[in-house]
Amino acid sequence: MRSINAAILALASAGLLSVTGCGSDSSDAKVPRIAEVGSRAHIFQNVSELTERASAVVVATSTGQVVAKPFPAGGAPTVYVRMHVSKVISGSTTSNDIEVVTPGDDVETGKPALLTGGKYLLFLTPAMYAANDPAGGYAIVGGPAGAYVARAQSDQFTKIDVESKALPQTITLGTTHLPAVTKSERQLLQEGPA
Amino acid sequence: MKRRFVRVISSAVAALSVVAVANAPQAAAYNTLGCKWSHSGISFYVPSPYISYPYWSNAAASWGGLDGRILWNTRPADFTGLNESRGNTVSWTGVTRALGTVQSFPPCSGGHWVSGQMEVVLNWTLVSGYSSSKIQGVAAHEIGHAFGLAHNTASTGILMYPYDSRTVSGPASDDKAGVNALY
Repeated sequence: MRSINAAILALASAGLLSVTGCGSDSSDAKVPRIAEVGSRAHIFQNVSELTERASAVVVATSTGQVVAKPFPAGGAPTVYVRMHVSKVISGSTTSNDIEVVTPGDDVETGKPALLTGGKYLLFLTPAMYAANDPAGGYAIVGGPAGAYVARAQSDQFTKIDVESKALPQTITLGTTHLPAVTKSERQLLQEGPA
Repeated sequence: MKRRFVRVISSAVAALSVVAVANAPQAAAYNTLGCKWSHSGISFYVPSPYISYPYWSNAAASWGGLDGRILWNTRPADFTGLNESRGNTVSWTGVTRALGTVQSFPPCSGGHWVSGQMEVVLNWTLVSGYSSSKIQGVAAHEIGHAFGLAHNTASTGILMYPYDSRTVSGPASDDKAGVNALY
């Protein structure tokens, strides 16, 4: 049985253990660890599949502000983190200051994962509950799959999703080929969540 | 004489092969979350108005005949099933989570789940486009998590395969072995 990683996540979630996502280089930014226990629709095999579902690929930094928007049907609110977009790689956003649905909580801090670390490379799509039913702000394509956090080198970003094994471990701006975004927010809203 | 000698040697080699296979270490067939129920009869409640009700019912039944048992439709229950239309604000089509959260890990105390503090949820926006058997597969996958099973990427023919491209809608032998080992 390979229960060690899962047990670590469970213990960390229960507050019994701290799990650090730091690399060996102390100058590196922290990498959030998300303990999601569920089933996913898609396996993203490469960055092309992420950009196909994105309206923008950006570099953004958390402002530290968290916004909880009521879920229309009741239940737990949808949690967003306010981010400042410092660079648009492809596509466009409505503003340089945006709200992004957090792809989960960091098991170490218990806080929204996007608050951990500094600068992120994000594959964004309009957040929606259904086709033409925008939730406001942006969601990350594939949740944690479409979020890469900057490490010591500012243009090098590291994958945070442990489940998406086929995606590249790092993306380096100017080196890693990132296909251009081809769909607008309107198009993606019409197509609905996928 | 020579022919008989060859037969004896062949039989011996065959017998040794059988022994070797029987003693070979088993490959990892399941993974665990590090948390499970303290009891083997696990109560599960799904409010009947939920559209996902029949899928949860069938999924629970698919886990029958094991050392850990789902006691269907009792309240108060150890865990509850429901559905929400969360769209793309979550990455999951199904999740096992702490009560009243979007996707937080369920409370685990001393290696045991806390009764009444766990929900299994289907993201109806996404699964409503699936076939019935595929929806049931997602539901059964979440019940596997509720037992304490973790993901297993060894094969798409395992229920605990983490993606909806799995080819089964109920527990495979490896999944069942995991539950029997836990309870």
